[in-house]
Amino acid sequence: MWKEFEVHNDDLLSRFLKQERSKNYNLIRRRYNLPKNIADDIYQESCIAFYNNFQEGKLNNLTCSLSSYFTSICINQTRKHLNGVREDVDSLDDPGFYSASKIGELLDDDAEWLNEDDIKNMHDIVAMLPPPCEQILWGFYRDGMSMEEIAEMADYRNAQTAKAKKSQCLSKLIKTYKERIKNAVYGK
Amino acid sequence: MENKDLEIFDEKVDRYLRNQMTAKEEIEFKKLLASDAELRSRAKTTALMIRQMEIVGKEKDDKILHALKIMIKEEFLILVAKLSAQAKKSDKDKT
Repeated sequence: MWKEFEVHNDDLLSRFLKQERSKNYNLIRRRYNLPKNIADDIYQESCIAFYNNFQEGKLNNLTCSLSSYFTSICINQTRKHLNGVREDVDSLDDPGFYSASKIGELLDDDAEWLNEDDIKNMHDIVAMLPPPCEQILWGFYRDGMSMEEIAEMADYRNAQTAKAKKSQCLSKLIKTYKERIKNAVYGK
Repeated sequence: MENKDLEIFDEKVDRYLRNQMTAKEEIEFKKLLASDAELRSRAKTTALMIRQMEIVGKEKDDKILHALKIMIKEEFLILVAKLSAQAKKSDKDKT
């Protein structure tokens, strides 16, 4: 069962930057074999580039998540550091967006299966996922990260380990969701 | 179902929802869903999770952008320096 998310005093921006540090620090260190202090510098430079890009209006009409965008900045900054030249990556390798019509085909043909309470339950569950499932499921399903990237981010041995962990997290989420629905039905 | 089989099924759901299946694969996949209630439920719940992640993610991103909008650069730089120092200390404590 998921534990309720602890409420911190940090604001949302601090929490976002902390999450991005924890996500991207391992990723760039492992992928580019960087020492810790260089990875730290790159993270800080990426934060500044993120802020500057926002102020310049480059985040208007963003089609990916902010987290994917931040990761692409980290990768650009790392390449710039290693090559001494800027080599822009617009975003991570595009895994293909989810099709709203395919999602609709699975969900909307079964009105009995899905009511407002079910939707609210899932909304609350995805908003409160604990680590490491938060990083893995959001990384894969929302931020479009590959299994290799998730393994680098979470410091798993390889993509296969990350894939196994993703399925376990999904099973756990589904179990939690079903329990909530059952409890709602029986008024527990 | 074995964990390995679930991993393979999850990949199929993902390819279906990204519209990456061939017509033949899609027919097979729909047959599988029609014949197995547990897998059908897993596929539907995954789809619902993805839809809600889009909504929750968009809500969070909008709030972060709003926070960026009202923060001056000096404040932002102080925040980044503070978070980096905290992270370095935490890494050091772990080792």
